Amino acid sequence: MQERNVLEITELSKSFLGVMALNKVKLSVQAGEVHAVIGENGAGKSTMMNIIMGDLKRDGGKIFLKGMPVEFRSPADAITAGISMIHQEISLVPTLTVAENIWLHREDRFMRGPFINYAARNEATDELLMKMGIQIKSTALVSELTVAQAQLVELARAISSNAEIIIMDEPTSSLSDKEISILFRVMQDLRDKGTAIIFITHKIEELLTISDRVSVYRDGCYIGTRRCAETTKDELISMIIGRTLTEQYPRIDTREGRPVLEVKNLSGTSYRDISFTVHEGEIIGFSGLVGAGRSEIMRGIFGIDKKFGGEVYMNGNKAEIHSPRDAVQYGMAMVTEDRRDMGIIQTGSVKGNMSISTISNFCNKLGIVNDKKEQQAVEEMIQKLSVKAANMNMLITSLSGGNQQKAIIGRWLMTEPKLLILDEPTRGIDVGAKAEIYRLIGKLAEQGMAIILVSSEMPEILGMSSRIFVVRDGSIVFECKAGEATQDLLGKHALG
Amino acid sequence: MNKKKTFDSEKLMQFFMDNKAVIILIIFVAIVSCLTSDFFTARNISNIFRQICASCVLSLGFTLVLGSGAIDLSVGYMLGMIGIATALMAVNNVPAPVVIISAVLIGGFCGFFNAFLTLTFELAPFIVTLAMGMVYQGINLLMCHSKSIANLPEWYKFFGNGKIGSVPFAIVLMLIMVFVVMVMVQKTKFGRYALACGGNRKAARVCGISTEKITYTVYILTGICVGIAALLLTGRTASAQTGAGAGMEMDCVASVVIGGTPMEGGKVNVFGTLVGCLLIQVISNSLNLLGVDSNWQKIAKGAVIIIAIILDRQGSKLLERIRVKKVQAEN
Repeated sequence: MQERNVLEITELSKSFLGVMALNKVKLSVQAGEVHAVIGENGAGKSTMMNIIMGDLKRDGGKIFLKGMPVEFRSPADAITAGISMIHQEISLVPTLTVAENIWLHREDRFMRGPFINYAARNEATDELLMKMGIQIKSTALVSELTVAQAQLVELARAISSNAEIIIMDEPTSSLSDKEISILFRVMQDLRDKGTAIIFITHKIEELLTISDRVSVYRDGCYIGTRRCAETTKDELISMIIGRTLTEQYPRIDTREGRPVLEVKNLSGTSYRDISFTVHEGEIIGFSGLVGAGRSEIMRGIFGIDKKFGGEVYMNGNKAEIHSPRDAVQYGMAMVTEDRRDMGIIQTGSVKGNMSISTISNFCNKLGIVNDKKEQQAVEEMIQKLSVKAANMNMLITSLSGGNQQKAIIGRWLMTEPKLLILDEPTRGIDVGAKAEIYRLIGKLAEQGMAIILVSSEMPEILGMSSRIFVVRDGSIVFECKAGEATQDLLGKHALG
Repeated sequence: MNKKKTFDSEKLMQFFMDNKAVIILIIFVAIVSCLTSDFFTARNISNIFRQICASCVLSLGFTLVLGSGAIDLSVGYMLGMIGIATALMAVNNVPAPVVIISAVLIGGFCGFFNAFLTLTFELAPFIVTLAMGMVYQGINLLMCHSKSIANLPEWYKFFGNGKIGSVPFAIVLMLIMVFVVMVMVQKTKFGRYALACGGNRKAARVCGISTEKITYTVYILTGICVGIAALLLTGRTASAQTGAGAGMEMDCVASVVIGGTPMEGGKVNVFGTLVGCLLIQVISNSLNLLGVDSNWQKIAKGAVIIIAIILDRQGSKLLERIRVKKVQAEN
C-alpha cells in the first residue's frame, strides 16, 4: 500500500448557532484503502462529510486533496475534483431511468451532435451493472426499484464517475446480506484499483471485515485511528462510547407507584411485539441506535403513526388511541424527536406555542380566549422552567434551541400529563440547557409523573433512568435496572 | 448598547412588514391626489368603498384558507354560481329569507365538498379547488343558458344599493364581516388552531388538534363568505351574469398577499386584506380618473403585486438576518 494521503483534514471546526458540531477534528485517508469512520449519532460524522463535499461551510481548519489545500463551494465542485458521495438517503431522481440517473449531468460522452445516444448510454450502463453483478435493467425506472436496488444504483453512479475518493454514508443500512456481499466485492475491487473509500457505518463487525483502518469520533471530537487488523470490537466500543459522565445528572429520589402505562404486544411498520410497563415516578430509558425503532414505538403509542396490533392501557383502562388528540385526552404528552418538523409551530409566538394544547382551558363558552388567563398561565410556566425569552410574544424561532425545547416541554406540562414521553429531548442543545432539562425531568418524576426517555446518548440514559430497555431492529432485546447497566453492556446489546 | 439597537431595528422592521399595505396605499393616494383633484371627492371615495365590498368579503374567506395552510381557487366561479342560483330563485318569487339562507348554505356546502375531496382522497387543495372551479363554471352556463338574469326584486338590489341612514348597507356588512373574522382569527380557539395548522400541520396534530376538523371548518367558513359576497355582487350589478366572479380568485390572492398574509400559511392579517382590496381598487380607480387605457391598468396591478411580494420576501430575509444575529449575540 502506498503511504500517500489522498485526503487530509486538519483542525476542522464547525458550530451551529453556538453549538459545537466539530471541534478541530482530523482525518487522513490514503489511496487504495477502505477507511471506516465510526461514532455515535451526533458525533459529527455527517457534518464532516458535508463539509468535505462543499454542502456546508467550515468555520476553521484545512482540507488537503493530494497535498493541495481545497475549498469546495458546492457538491458539484467536489465531484469535479474527484470526490463522490453515496448518501444515506437515496438521492436519485425517481421519475428517471437507471441509466439516466447514473449519467445525469455527465451525458457528454454519449452525445451525438445535440442529442443523447440512448442506445450507447443504455449499453454502457448494462455493462457497468453487469460488471458489478447487479441484476437491474438500465431502462428500469428508479421509482420501480427497491430501496436496496436504488442504493446499488447509487453505488454504480459513484463508480462510473471514476472518483478517486468515494464517501459511503451508511450504505449497508438498507441492504440485505446478498446485496452487502455485492457491495463489499465492489469496494474491494475499487480499493485494488487505488480508490480511497471513506466508509461510514454503525456496525463494528461489518467494518472490521472490510476496512483497513478506522477513525473514531465522539461529540464532535477526534478520538483516534486504529488499524483494523490490530484492534478489537471491544476496544472500538469503548472508544465510541467511553466518555466520562461529564454532564450533571441530578439525584432522583422517587417512589414507584401504580402502573400508568402498560403496552402489550404492540406492533407497527418497523417494530413488533413490544410489551412494557411504566409506573408513577419512574423514568424508563429507551436506548439503542437511531433507526432501531425507538421513536417509531413512541409515535405508535402516541397515535402519530398507525399501529398494526397490540394494546395500550392507561391507568389500568384500555386506551383506544388513533390520533395524538386521543392520546392527549388519556393524559399522555410527547416531546417529539424532530423539533422543527413536529414540535414548534414556526410562525407562532412563544406564548402561542406554549398554550396551544391547553387553549380550551382559557376559553369562554363562545370559544373566545381570555388573554389575561392565558398570559398568566404561560408566564407561570416560563418562570417555572426558566425559559429565556425577552417577552412571550416573540416568535418561537427567535429563541435558542434549548429554550425552544423548554417551551415545548412547558406546552405539555400545562396539560398536566400522567405520562411524558421525551424523544431525544437534549438533541442540539448546549450543555447548560441540558443540565437544566435533566433537573426538570428528575423533579417531574419525583412528583409522580411517569416518564419515558428515548435517547441515543448512553450517558444520558444511564444518568437519568430507573429502568432501561435496549431496542434493536424493532424489538426490545434487553432490559435492566439502572444499577446493573454499564455503557459496555448497553452498547453491546444495541450494536448486536 | 449594541443589543438594544438590533432589538429596535427588529421591531421597526416588523412594524413595516405588518403594515406595508397601508404604507403603499398612503404613498399611492398621495401621488394620485397630486395628479388629479377628482380623487378626493366624497362621491369617488364612497364609490371605491362600495366597489370593494364583494371582493373584500370574498378575500376574508380566502385569508382564512391561506392562514390555515391551504388554498381555494374555486371561490371565483363559486361566487358566480351562487349569484346565478339565488337570482333565479329571486326572480321566481322565492321569499327573501329563503334565498339568503340558501346562498349561505350553498357556499357552506361547496366549501365542505372541497375539504371532503382533499382530505378523503389526500389530494392537493390547489388542484382540487381549481377543478371544482371549472365544475362551477359549467354549472353557471347550464343554469342560465348563457343569458344574464335581470329584473331582480328590490330586496335583492338592497344588497348592492341599499343604505342604512346615509351609509351603504354593503359597506356596513363588509365592515361587520371584517370585524367578525378579525375576532375569530385573533381571539378564538378556532383561530389559534387554524393558524397552528397553517404554521406546522404535523406539529399541530401532535399537540392534539384535530387538523381534519379545522380544515373542514375553514373551507365551510370560506364558502359562507363566498355566499355573502355573491349576494353583494349580484345586488350591486342588479343582474346575475355567467361571467360574474370569473378571475376573482386571482384578485383575492393579490389583495390578501399584499395585505400581509403569506401564501405559506400560519399568519394572517385580516385588516391587511381590507387594505389590500382598497389598494387594488384605488389603482384601477385612479388610473381611470387619469384616463389611462384599461389594458395598462392590468399591467399596473400586476406590477404592484410583484412589488408587494418582493418587499415581503426581502423584508422577511432582512428580519431573519436580524434575528439570527440577535440569537448569536445572546450565545
